[in-house]
This record gives sequence, structure tokens and C-alpha cells, in this order.
Amino acid sequence: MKQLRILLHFEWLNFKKEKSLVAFCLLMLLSGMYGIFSGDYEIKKQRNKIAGLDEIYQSNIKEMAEKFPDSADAGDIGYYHAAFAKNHPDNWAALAIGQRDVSPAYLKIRLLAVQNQLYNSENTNPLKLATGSFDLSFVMVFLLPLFIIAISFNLLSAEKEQGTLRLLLAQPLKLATLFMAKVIFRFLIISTVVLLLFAIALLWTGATPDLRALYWILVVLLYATFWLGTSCAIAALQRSSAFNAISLLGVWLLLAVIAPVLINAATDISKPVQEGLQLTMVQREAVHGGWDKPKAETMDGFFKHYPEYTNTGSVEGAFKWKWYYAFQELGDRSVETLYKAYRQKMLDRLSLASNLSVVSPPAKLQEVLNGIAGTDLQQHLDFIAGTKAYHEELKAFYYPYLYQDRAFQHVDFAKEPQYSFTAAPDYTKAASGIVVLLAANVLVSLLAIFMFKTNTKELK
Amino acid sequence: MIRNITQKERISSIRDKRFIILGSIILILLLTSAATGIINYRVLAAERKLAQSTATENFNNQPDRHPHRVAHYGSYAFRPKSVLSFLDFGLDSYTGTMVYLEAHQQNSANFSQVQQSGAMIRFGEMTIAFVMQWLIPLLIIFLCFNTFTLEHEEGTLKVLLSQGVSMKAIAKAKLLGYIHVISMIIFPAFFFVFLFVLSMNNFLLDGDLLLRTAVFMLTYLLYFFIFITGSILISAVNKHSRTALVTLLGIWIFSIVLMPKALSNLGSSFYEEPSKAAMDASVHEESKNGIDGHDPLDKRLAQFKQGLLEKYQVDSLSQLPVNVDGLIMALGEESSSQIYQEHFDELVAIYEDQNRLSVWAGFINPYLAIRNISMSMAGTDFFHYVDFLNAAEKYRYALTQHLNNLQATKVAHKDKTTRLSADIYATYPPFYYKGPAFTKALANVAVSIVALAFWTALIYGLIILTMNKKKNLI
Amino acid sequence: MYLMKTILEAEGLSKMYGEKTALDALNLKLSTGEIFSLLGPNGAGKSTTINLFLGFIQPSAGAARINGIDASKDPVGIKQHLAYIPEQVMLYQNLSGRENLALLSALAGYEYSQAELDQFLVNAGLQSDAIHKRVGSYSKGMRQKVGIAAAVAKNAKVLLLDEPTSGLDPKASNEFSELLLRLSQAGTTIFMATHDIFRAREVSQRIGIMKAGSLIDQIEAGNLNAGELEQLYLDYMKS
Repeated sequence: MKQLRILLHFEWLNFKKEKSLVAFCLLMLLSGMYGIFSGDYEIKKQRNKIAGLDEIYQSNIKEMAEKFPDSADAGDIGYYHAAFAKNHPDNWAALAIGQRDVSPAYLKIRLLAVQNQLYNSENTNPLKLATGSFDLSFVMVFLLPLFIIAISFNLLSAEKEQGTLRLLLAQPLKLATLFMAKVIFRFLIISTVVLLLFAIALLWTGATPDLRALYWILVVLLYATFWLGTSCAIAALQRSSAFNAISLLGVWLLLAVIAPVLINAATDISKPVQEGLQLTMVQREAVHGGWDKPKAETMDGFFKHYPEYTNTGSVEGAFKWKWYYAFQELGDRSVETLYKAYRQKMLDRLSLASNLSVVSPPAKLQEVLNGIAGTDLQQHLDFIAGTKAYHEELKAFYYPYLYQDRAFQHVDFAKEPQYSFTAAPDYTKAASGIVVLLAANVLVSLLAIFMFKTNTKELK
Repeated sequence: MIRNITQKERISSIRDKRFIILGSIILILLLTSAATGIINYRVLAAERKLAQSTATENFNNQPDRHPHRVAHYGSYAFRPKSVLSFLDFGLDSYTGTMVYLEAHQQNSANFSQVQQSGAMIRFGEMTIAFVMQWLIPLLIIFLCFNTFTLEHEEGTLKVLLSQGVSMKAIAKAKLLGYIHVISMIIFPAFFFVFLFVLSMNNFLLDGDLLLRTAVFMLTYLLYFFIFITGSILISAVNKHSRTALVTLLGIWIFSIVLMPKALSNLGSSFYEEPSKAAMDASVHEESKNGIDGHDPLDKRLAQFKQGLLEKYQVDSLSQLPVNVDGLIMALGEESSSQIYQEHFDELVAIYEDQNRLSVWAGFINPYLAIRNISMSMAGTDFFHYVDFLNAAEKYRYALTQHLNNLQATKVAHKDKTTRLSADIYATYPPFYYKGPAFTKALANVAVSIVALAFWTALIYGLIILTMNKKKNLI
Repeated sequence: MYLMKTILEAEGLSKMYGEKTALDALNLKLSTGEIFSLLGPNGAGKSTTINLFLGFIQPSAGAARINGIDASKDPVGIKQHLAYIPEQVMLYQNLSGRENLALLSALAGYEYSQAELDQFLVNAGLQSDAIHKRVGSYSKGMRQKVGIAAAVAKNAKVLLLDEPTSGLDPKASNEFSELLLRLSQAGTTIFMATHDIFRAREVSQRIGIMKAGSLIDQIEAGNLNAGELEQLYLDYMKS
């Protein structure tokens, strides 16, 4: 419509000249850029740490050669040598650090019982963890709504309070047209900021613009329109600018600060997780119990799972590595159910939190962004599962040496299995997040339309 | 005159719908967070107590074992929850709860809450400290932002001033009025907090606990005072209510949401900590080859054995009155533990360097100051955590050396099969941890306390200065 | 002389706010080129009447029509035929007088060139060096001139004025009266709510006196001088 075009043009003229609005845009862009830089820096640090592992690995191999000149007993190797399971961050991880800073990016794995090795922690600064990351997802989840509120809280009320609304509406102009023009204009500004920051993020971090990019843009823009819609609903009440500002900030506080905190408390209280502690202690008993069980019992138990090694030589008498790794294996198996229960409990907690977060678009967006970046707990659990499988591969590699009495040659290290994991993006979570945000948008739009219709019969 | 104005501020605020709505919300949230805090404490404290007693029971009732086996079997240290942690979870959820104590090795503290939770936990935790640090300042802002600007806009300010009251007097009166109003919420809340504290400690009066609670409450009162005074000041220097509000909210968002993150980011970019793998590798390397790399362990052990042979005038190690295996284990343990402790201390120093920026920034941002003090008094800050880790390591070392001693005295040389009865092991005291004393915790946050006091004086001084300058009108 | 056609009509126009009567069954007809002034104290219903014609509020009864269009039925369409200058002409502070005029005219369907816009402003009495400056720097009189320019540029049949001379110095007030007379001769109907008895008598053909929502009297302006008009007004207000 011609009037729409005219109004958009003048919105732009006014916007350009309003110092505080331009300042907000700049602030938003600067925060976004800092977030991109900071997130990328964090991921680069993790990459460096992972890269440093190679040297440690190689120097350990050298040490093995020195400690066991010529060939070695695979049992010694299994005890003194460690390989590293690596959790490589994708470039996308820089956009949403998620839980990557909390859990280790690698696990040191020896041939011993794996359940004692999967839950070790990395050196982390707990205060830094508690304060949280300042990455692009933080800027989008927390600061974008504030930016949107700042440029739209006085959408209509400014015109009223400035007194310009009277003259405008003395022209053959529908209030709805004016309103739409202002909303469209703001949407254009907001999407420009979001897309610009996203483009910078892709360039800076090298994240691949694949399907993830589509999801990211869609979900962030839906989030933005949700907040814009909320501003509209409040503006449609035709109250003062101060009322609008306070109400919108109240909504932000409720949805971005209070609701997630309550959801977290509810999740903790209804699904506490003590399975990890139990698992560790039970496993220790099982493994150390192996020293005291009759050796024949241990070996029988072992051969049940590895019948191919039944004919391996006797373990009676002096200490033999064969027997040692046999009861390590059995120790692991004895807690398999507990491991599954522990894993399931954590997944249950995640899905409870996910379900509850439909009431909090900010929480939902954070969840989705973490899922796209591959940095949520879910993906760390995948890494742990993958590491457990890697441990199986190591056993498959070393067991023949042990149980077929083959000497381990140092050149054989070249054949040792390696494990590299990169989290896959969680498209399911992204899709469900889009659905939730779409629903939130519909809700808020209906509310805005309803408020508008009931409040604009008279020009107050 | 001031009393009249104070009275008027009080009454108009109390009648103000904002106060009633916001005040009720805050009270509800305080009660909710007290409830969640107490539940969290009870659940976690019980869990850890049970785990610790299970570990002790397992240790005391283990089958007969060789002392070196027991050294590998080891024990666990579970970090008990401090009584006041229900007020401020602090870093508890971000720190490990269990350390596996075994010979030859220092393990990480595992199973922190945050490692077992998704993204939601990073939004914050519902505690009394959260409500008081984040939400009550907002209540104060919403109540006070237009205290001067509204009077200016409605013209009542001119009326007051024409009666002969100075701006300074008006400001003081408003300050007193709002202090009364906020106290109406805070003091009942603090009273209940005090009751909760007592009940958590089974109504035993514990000096340490009471002092921590007192400092906790007092510093929060200063924090609120700073916000009340600051809000009144911003209102006084602005012409319009909306600019005062936007300014105050901007300050809130910047100080409480943005700056802490930016500073902790900066801090960790200036000082980088080694990965655990790298640190372990260094410890391993130095243990083997000595700290300077030219003092290999095997050489030292060989010298040690030789020295013993000479000391006791015997030809072979089996002839020694003690089991040299135990002594060698002890020597190795001493050496590697010492090296590990050095590296650990270095690591802690790096973290402290990283955090120092945020601590000193308390002089520009009172939120950073109160956050520190609150965590410290609740026993949930980094200092308390490190204290636990050191205590756990001390116990581990002592236990391991005790077992090495048993091996040296109760088992023969090269004997790997003799088992000692569990009764011998059960006599060793279990891991018992009591946190640092109040004075230590207080001393650790001295900078933050000074910063908070500085802010209190500064903001009050600023408002007096500004009001003096204004004399008559904006 | 133009055809004496009724351009502006109030028929039983009423507005109630709950129990309170803001306007009580106003009946009024204005023809082409007529200038009508409405006198009355604050709260008498003058602004309510104007708001009803603007479609800013809905009548409780009756109708407000301009050129046959009912304000409550077609609040947007009616604006094509009227121009409005409020007591306080509030414009976009950061835009120039010219830009503000451009916006208002464009919304009314007139896209003028810069030269044309400037001409309107100059004709309304705005200094040519002020045209491109931001309205934030304008005085009340200057803003009002922009308002006048916008009204003129709109070529409207009816001009609604709310206290147009309040806050104007005598010279500006005089220029304004001359402008009104020119517009009236060109066929514009003018409805003016005012306190300025002198100016009212000077330009109007008819004068209405409103009290507590009712139009209590209508007078031919030529029949009284300013002093008599003032006395009449005060007498009405006393009773």
C-alpha cells in the first residue's frame, strides 16, 4: 500500500535521527560481535587442549618403549599406556557453548574397567562456569529481547505522548495501517541485526552454512517476532510508555530469568540424580572384589563372554595380567544396568526440562541453539557412549595379545584404534523448538489482535 | 519537616499498587527459594552423608586384604553441604561432589550437578541469594525510579521547595522512607531466614554459623541501601520518569547480567589453565625424573635402598627389620604427592588470577562484591571448595602412608599374598571434613567487603553532593 | 458566491461518559465558506465536538457529518474532507518542518515536490531559513504555521480549529485571522473552538456559546460588537 510505503520511509527518517535508537542498535551489534569472538575463542582453546593431547600420547608411547625395551606384555601396556577419546567441537559450537565448557573435551582411556574412567572431570574454573558464557546464543536469548523491547515499547505510546498521533490520525489513515508500518519497520531492523550478526558469526567461526543455518535463522527470527508480538500486545492496550516499558521488562524477567530458574528447581526436585555416585561405588566393589574371588570363577565368567579365549593358559599361581583384565571386564559388566539407569535418568531430566520449557521461549531457544551447535548434555552423553564403544574396540585390539600370549611390539601402536567424536546437530530438538515458538507467536499475535480490537475504539 | 516527608513517602509507597504487587511477588519468591534451598540441602546432604557412610562401611568391612591392595582400593571423600548453602548455592552445583582417594594418583572431583544437567541450570538457581541479588534491586528500582521525576512532572517538587525545604532534606527524607518500606519486606524475610538457619542446625547455637548469617544479612542490607540511594539519585538527576527508569534498568542489566560474564571471560583469557591431561603428564614426568628432570626416581630409590642396607648393616633387603617395599611405596608417594600438590597449588593460583578481575571489579560494581561475600558466608565459594579438595588430598595421603607403613611393618619383603584382617583397617579414622572457620572465610573476601563499604559511602556521598549542588531545582 | 450547501452537520450529536453528559444533542449546520466560532469555558464540550467530527470518539447518539459522510461510520474517509489544527501542534522533533509537511500531505494523498512544500510553508508565514531546520527548534507559533500549511495543502472543505490563537502574539494572531478570511472566501468552511472573543467576532459569521455540553445560543456576529459579545457571554456563564 502506498501509505505503508510512506510510513516506512518516515519511520526510517525518524529512526536514523533518534540517537538512543541508533545507540541500541550499535550496542546490540557490538555485544553480538563480542559474543561471536568470545565463543570462538573458547572453542579454539578447547581445540588447543585437544591438540596438545597428541604430544602426551606420543611421549607416553616413547616411555613405553623405554620402560619395556624390545617387546612388551600387553597387560603392562594396558595399565601404563593411555589413549585419548576426543570430543572435537564443530565450528558451530562457537555459536552456543552450551555444556561444552562444563564437561571434558576428551577422556583418557586405559584398558582397565571403563566405568571408572568415563566420569572424570577436566580442570575448570567453577566461578567462570557459574557466571556462564558470553557467546552469540547468550546475546540472542537474553539481549535480543531487550533490544526489541527498547525499540518497540513505545511503538504507539510515543506518538501519543509526543502529541503527533492526533495530527497523523487527522489524515485519512487507519490506525491499523500506522501500527503495521511501525511493526514491519521494526521487524526489518531486527532481522537486519540478527542476519548481520549471523553472517559475521559464519565468517568468523567458519561454521558451515548448511541445514543448521536455516534452522538457526528460522528459530531466532521466530523468537524475535515473539517478542515483537508481545510488545504489540502491550502497545495495543494504549497505555503510557512507562507502563509498556515496565510490563515488557516484567515479561522478560518472568520468561528469561524466573521461569527457567523455576524449571531447573522443579527438574532437580522431581528427578534428582544420585545414580552416578552409586554406579562408581558399586563398580569399585565389583572390581576390587575380583582380587578376592577364586581365579577360576573369574575366568569362567570371562570366558562366557569371550569363548574364543577359553584355551588361554592357566592364571593360577603368580599374578597374571589375563586374570586382572578379566575381572576388570566383569566389574564393568556387573554395573551395566546401573550405567544404563544413570544414562536414562539424565535423559529423563533433559526431557522433563525440555517439556517444561515450553512456557519459557528463552529457555526453549537456548535449548535449540545448543542442539544445533551440538553442545548440550545429550551430545556429551553420546560422546560418553561413543567412548565406551571405543573402549570395546581397544579391548578387541589388546585382548588377542593378552589371551593369545602374543608379545606386544611397539610398532603395533600404529595400529591402535583411535577415537574422534564430533557431536551431530539435534534437528529433532530444533524442529520441536520451532513448533513451540510458532505456537507462542500465534498466541501472542491473537492476543495482540484482540487487545487492539478492544482498545482502539476511541482515541484515549 | 523531614519526618513528615518520610512519612508521606512511606504511606504513598505502601498504598502504591506497585509495592503491593511487587512486594508480594518478592515475598513469594523468597519463600519459594527458601523451600527449594532447604529441599536441595536436605536431599544432597543426606545423599552425601549416606554415600560417605557407605564408603566407610565398605572400607571397614572389606575382606582381608594386603595393605597395598587396600591402598589401591582406597576410599572416597564426599563433599558435605555447608548448612548455609541453602541460602546461596554458590559454586556447589558447578563443583564435583566426590573424590576417589587411591594410591599413586590424584583424581578429579566428579559428578557435579552441572555435568548431569542440561542447559537449564545455566540460567541460574532459585535461591534466596538469587532473589536478593537479582530481584530485590529490581523491586527497589521500580519503586524508586520516579520518586523525584514524578514530583517534578506533577509540579509538587516546586511546591515543596517553595516551603523552604532543601533538595538535600527531601532526598534524605525519601531515602529514609524507602528504607522503611523495603525493610517491611526484608526484615520479616530475614527473621524467617534466621529461623531456617537455626532449624537446619537443629536449633543448636553455633558461633560460626551465627556470625556467617549475621555478616550475610548485614552485607545484603548495605547492598539494598546502595540500590535505594542510587535509584533516588538517578531519579533526582533526570527530568523524565522514563529516562530515569531506562537508566536504572540499563545499569541493572549491565551490572548484573553483562559485566560479570564479560569480566570472567576476560579473566580466563589473560590466564590459561593447563588441561588435566597436560597437568597429569607433567606430574608424571616430574615424579619420574625429578622436578628438574635430572633426578630420576629409580636412581633415588636405588640410593635409598643402598642407604638402608648400609644403615642396618645387612647384605640383602629381606634382612631389613622393615619391609622395604612399604618404605619405597611411601617414598614414591611422598615424592609424587609433593609434586602434585605444587601443580595443584599453581592451578588454584591460576584460577585465583582469573577471578581476581571480578573480585576487584567490586569497586565498580557492587553486585560483584555482594556475590562474593554471599558465597563465602554460605560456604559455597571457590575458597571453600579448594579447602575441601586439599583436605581430601591430605586424607588420601595420610591414609596411603598409613597403609604403606602397615606394609612396611606387618608384611614381609616381597610378600604380595599376606592379607591383613579388616579390623586393622577399620581402626583408621574415616574421612571427616569441617569447613574453614568464619574468620578465614571473612578474610578471604576482605576486598569485596571493603568494596561494598566503599560503595555505600560513595553513593551516599554522591547523593549529598548532588543535592547540595542542586539547592533549589533541576 | 458559492452554492450555500451544508458541508458540516451535527444532528442530535451527543456524548455521554457514564452518567456525565459531555455533549447534549448538538444541532448545527455550517455551509460552504462559513466561519463559525464556538465559545465556552473549559469542559463545555468544544473539544468533544471536534473529536466527534474527527471520529476520534464515538457518539452516544446522533451523527456528525462532513460532506454527507458520517464520522462514526467512516472515520477514515471523512478525514479526506477535513483538516485539523490542534491547540498544540506537535510534530516529529527530529524532522524538519518540510519533512513533517511532506509526511502529512503524503498520507492525505498529495505528494508535493520540495518547492511546492516550501511554498505552502512560506505562505503560512514560516521563515524560509527555518523550513529545513528540525522542528525541535521551533517555537509554538512556528509549529502552528506548519499545521496551517498542512491544512491548506490538504485542500480540505472543512477546517477544524482548536484554540488556534492561544499563545500567539498579536501580530501572528492577526495574520492568522487574515488567513482564515482568505480561506473562507475560497470556499473553506471553518469551525473554530476558541476563548478569544475578540478574534471570534472579527472573523466569524456566526458565534455559538456552549455551556455544560449544550449549545445555549447562536448569534450572528455582525449584530454585536466585541464588548457586547463579551457581556452576553459572561451573562450566560453566570446563570
